[in-house]
Amino acid sequence: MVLLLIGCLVVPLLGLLRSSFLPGSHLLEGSGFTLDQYVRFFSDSYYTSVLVETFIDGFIVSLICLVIGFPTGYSLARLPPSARRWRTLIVIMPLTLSLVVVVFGWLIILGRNGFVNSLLVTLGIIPSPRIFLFTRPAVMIVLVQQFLPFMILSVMSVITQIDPVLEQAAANLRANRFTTFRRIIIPLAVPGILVGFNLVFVLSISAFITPRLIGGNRVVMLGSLIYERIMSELNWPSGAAMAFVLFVSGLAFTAALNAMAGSRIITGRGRYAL
Amino acid sequence: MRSDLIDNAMAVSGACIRCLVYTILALPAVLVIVSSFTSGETMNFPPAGFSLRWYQKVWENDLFMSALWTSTYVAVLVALVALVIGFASAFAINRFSFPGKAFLQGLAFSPLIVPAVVLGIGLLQLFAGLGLTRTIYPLLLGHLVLAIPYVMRTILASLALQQRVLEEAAMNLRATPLQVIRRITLPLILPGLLSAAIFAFVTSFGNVTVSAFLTYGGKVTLPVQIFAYVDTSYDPLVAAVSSIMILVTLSVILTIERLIGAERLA
Amino acid sequence: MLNLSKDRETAVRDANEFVVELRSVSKHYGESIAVANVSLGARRGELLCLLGPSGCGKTTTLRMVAGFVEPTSGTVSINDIDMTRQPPYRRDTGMVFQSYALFPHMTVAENVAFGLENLKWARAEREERVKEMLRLVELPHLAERLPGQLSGGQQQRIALARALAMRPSVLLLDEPFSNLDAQLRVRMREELREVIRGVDVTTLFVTHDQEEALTMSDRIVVMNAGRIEQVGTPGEIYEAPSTSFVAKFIGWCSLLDGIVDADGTFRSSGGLCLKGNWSPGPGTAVIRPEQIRLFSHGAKGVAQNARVLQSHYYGGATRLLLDVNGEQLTMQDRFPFGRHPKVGDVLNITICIDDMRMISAAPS
Repeated sequence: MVLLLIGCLVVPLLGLLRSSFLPGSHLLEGSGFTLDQYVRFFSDSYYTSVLVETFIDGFIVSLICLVIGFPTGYSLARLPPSARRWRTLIVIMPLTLSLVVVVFGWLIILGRNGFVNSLLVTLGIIPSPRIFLFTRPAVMIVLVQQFLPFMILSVMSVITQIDPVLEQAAANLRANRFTTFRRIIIPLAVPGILVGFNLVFVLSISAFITPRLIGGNRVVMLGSLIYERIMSELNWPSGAAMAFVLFVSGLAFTAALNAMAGSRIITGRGRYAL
Repeated sequence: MRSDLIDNAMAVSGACIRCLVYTILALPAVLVIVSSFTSGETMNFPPAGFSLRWYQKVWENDLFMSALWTSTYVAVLVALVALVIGFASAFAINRFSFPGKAFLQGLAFSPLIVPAVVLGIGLLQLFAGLGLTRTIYPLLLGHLVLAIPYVMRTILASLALQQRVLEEAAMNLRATPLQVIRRITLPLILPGLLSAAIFAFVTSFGNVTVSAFLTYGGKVTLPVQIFAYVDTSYDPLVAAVSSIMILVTLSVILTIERLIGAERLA
Repeated sequence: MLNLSKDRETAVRDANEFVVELRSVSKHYGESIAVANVSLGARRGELLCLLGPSGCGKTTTLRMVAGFVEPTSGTVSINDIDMTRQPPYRRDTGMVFQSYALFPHMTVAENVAFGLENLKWARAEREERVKEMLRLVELPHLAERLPGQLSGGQQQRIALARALAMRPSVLLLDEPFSNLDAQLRVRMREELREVIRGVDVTTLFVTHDQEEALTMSDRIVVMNAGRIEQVGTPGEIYEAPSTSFVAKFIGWCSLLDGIVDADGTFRSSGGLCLKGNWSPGPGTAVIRPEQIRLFSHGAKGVAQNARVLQSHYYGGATRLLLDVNGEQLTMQDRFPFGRHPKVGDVLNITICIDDMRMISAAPS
């Protein structure tokens, strides 16, 4: 296993790092060592705006996942096992199902002659079909659906570790549900929330199938840009540099969240100490 | 009174959100299956009529059929190899303390933090450099890397659940270490092993984000074929292929559910 | 059983009759010491009990005999063969685990046969032995059940049958009754003793329950904080505790610190005075509840006044906490209905010093 992971994970990453320092714009034809690729990436306002938009999209997607995933994960953790069964299956299905199939499903939903349009027209809400595809919100909705299970499962696993007796104790101490939620559950669930947020964010900023199929040429994210660069333009050094920017930003985000979790400000204990 | 209002508001909004979440999660797959039975030429909704003609077209389509076999072949190989590697490593991590154990554990889960695009490009470049792009190895190894964390987690979990005292009892009854593994440890974690193998199978079978960079002697896996097809056109043929994939995936996770319970799928 | 450091001569003489013997065995986990310099031996056919509070090292000691824990120093021998570095599966022991550890994927019969298969018994003999063992524990009708379908008491009997099937030199029992409810516990205790007597196997038995230890064992090893406090028959342990820990751990008692005068009279530091014939020096008097009686004319001893501080009714008896000359003592007796002493009452009592134990303070 060590050999496999070093050979097929560490070595490729190092190789990629190396080629991101190559000059030239086709395959691996150049030689030498230069920061050109990175300089070009960060000095071009088109690339930097894609980068920033990707981060913003990723953040919004993670936030939506948190807001709608938390109540779901919470209820899942507190349900009796029999009721939990089919719900868990629905949550896990999109995880195991191939991404392209899910995205294709969304094409059926959002397409010009698709599910939403025919529903709205039949109900008389809009007179004629509208275009939902190729817009940023559409891409984000699809990303939310894809990565929501990660959030739900992270929240669920942390909630199952919180003893329901704590909530009963809070109720006994005259806390209403909202107070219990705010003062007891959320502080204790912070580790799970952070794990879920981290996963969804890193997965969202590196998505390339979804932006390409749902967003087309109008919505470009970093992932689809890299795919284009490597597979269509065969500009490997530039693609490698972008991939590394992506990788490092993901790591930086993870590190930042870990640092936050370590600081006492947002953890349950921290609140108490303050 | 105010508390009652807040409680009710939370209960209602919670129920609405959960309803929305389950609908959103299930809708794409349901609609794909519904659309695949259309008798029409285009992907309109609601589908026009009912027929199995698109399934027949898939059967006749060499591109999709050969991709389906490629996917199955690769996924089975990945499942077998991942199982062997995963069990050996998980057993070592669970049972022994040795220098570098923490490193091994960290390494096993490291593929989770590497974005799939980055891994895909990295592998493409490595295997291009080795001149192996036309073999099955890039796909196989790439999928193995992806499957290892899940396989390790499943096997580690079942090893942790299993009671060490049963192995001690077996040793007290004069069973040698090898006999203990064969007659006690393996049979008891069999459900965990099977589900680990099935996890590896689905991971490989459904993957597109890494596979997209790793074609195999001109052949591609089914998800990559679908991706390429949808990129340019959009017709019920894909709905039928996708339905087949949904069916395979669904039956697989139902099997795991039977084996270890939905709880532990996560 | 012997404490070798105290009684070397006897140790040498008796060494051959020990089936299991531990010599100066210690087990350290990093800084913490689980077992410190323990020496003990179990004679052929004897039921030897390791008794002590949780964390006293008794289970670690048992696991060192079974081979699951390797001693930091010292040796473990079975039938006079050094087993200290041998793996568990080369040791001639049969163990009943606290949780029974029946294999959930094998039937009762398969569980019992497991050890015999590893000992390479022929099939026919194996089957015969399994039947015999199931008859011994009176569960022959459950042979094809899975362990999950058995009650706690049945599981325990199967675990015993499995351990005894191999005819081990030593039977090891690790808190075998702790998973049973109180009533079943007493019944299984008697049953288990019966079975063990019947097969005449040397048995090492770990428990934290003094009643279990007193009723079941031939000899008891009392352990505390990784060390042996006292070794002896149940009678010796109860009647003649050699340390105040043993006195307090086995049964209920009051301990009074004080000094024995030159004339053999004990004076407690609180002021209570007991005329006796003890050897002079500082000591601790062990007063069992039953040694305090209501004074009646013609009885031996001196009458004393005692004020009732607490009174607890137990049905068969009443336990009183008394103030006797400034010392607090516990007495237990049966009072006629309607004449139970109340808090504040003053009783006329006598302390029976005949068989009273005096623990001499160690010269330090």
